Amino acid sequence: MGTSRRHRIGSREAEQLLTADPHASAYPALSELLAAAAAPPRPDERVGLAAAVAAFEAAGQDARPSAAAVTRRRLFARSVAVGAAIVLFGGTAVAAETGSLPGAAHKLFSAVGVPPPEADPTPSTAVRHVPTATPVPVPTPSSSRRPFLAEPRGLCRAWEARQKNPKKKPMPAESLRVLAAAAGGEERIGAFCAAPHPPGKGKGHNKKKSTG
Amino acid sequence: MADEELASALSAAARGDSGAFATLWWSLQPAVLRYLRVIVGEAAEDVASETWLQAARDLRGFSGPPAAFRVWLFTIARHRAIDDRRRARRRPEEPHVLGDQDVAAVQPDVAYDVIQRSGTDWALGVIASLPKDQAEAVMLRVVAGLDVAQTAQVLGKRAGAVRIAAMRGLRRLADHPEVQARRSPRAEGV
Repeated sequence: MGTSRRHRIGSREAEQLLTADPHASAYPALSELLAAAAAPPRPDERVGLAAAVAAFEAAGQDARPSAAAVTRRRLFARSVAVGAAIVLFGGTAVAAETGSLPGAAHKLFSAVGVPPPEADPTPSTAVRHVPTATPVPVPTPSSSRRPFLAEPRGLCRAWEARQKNPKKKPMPAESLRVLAAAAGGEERIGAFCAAPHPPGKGKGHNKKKSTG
Repeated sequence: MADEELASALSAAARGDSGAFATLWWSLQPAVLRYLRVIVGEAAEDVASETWLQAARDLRGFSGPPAAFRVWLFTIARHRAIDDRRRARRRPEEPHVLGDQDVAAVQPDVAYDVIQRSGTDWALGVIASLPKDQAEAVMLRVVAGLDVAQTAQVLGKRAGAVRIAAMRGLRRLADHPEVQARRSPRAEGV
């Protein structure tokens, strides 16, 4: 056997052994061991590629929801938006405009306890309980004398005014979010607000049908 | 594989490209397998499969450089290995199948053993005889190619502890009879 090591490996030497060229090592046998551990891959270490790729592709399938699930999610989201709109605007015209309500929407409304068209003193409570796919932060009425939701049609008016005159102060973010939820997306607000509202109310809305 | 090549494979795989995923697997499976060989022995293949299964599920949300990916992958491997050890402990009736490294430990004729086993298998067997924390530190530094900080992340330790564990591991390896047996008479200590 060779002579025993001169001294114990210190931390700097350790770092050299771990990272440096094995041929220049002060501990050749040890470096040889480390080099063997890190030797180039062997074919038997690469068995199983096909199974791994198959698992990856399967994972991709699981991540993507099925077509049925996507449809369900869309219907639910739309029914929630419509539900919010009905609570806000208290009318059946919205329902008429968007076509017949999906069956799920009716169950949703009964659960939420959609108030009758007469103004409910705290409509915001009902909206808050709506389980939404996209969260709709509804401001609590506690801080203001008159709840913001007491003037629902003001949302559309404010939005349209802002569209006509960008110099106006922008709507509060929460108002915009509620309006967007009702419309089914911010990009749909124009069509939503352009749709005819409950008879007798609102002025100057143009009569073209929404495509949303 | 250089990190630059891995980078494009990584971003493509994160978008669901299975060819890119194959590139990642091809590049990293050998290192994952060897690391697991040292900490779970015979279960290495199974645990490696579980590792890639989890990586496959979560890769589509992954964003980061190749180094971060390697840290992430080996962290998954380590957790799956820990789970495997827990499962193994709950099955005491199962006979422990002696693996190559077990045989090596009891093999009286060290020189014979050293000659017979392939270099890599031999090296992994010796490293596996170290205390667990030292074995892991050495494997992650040397075979996984992680630096101190990255190794510390995988192990959930401070960098200083990783340095010390690796250093102690190397000392033990240098003194190991099988390493000593491989030394040529003219070499060390001269």
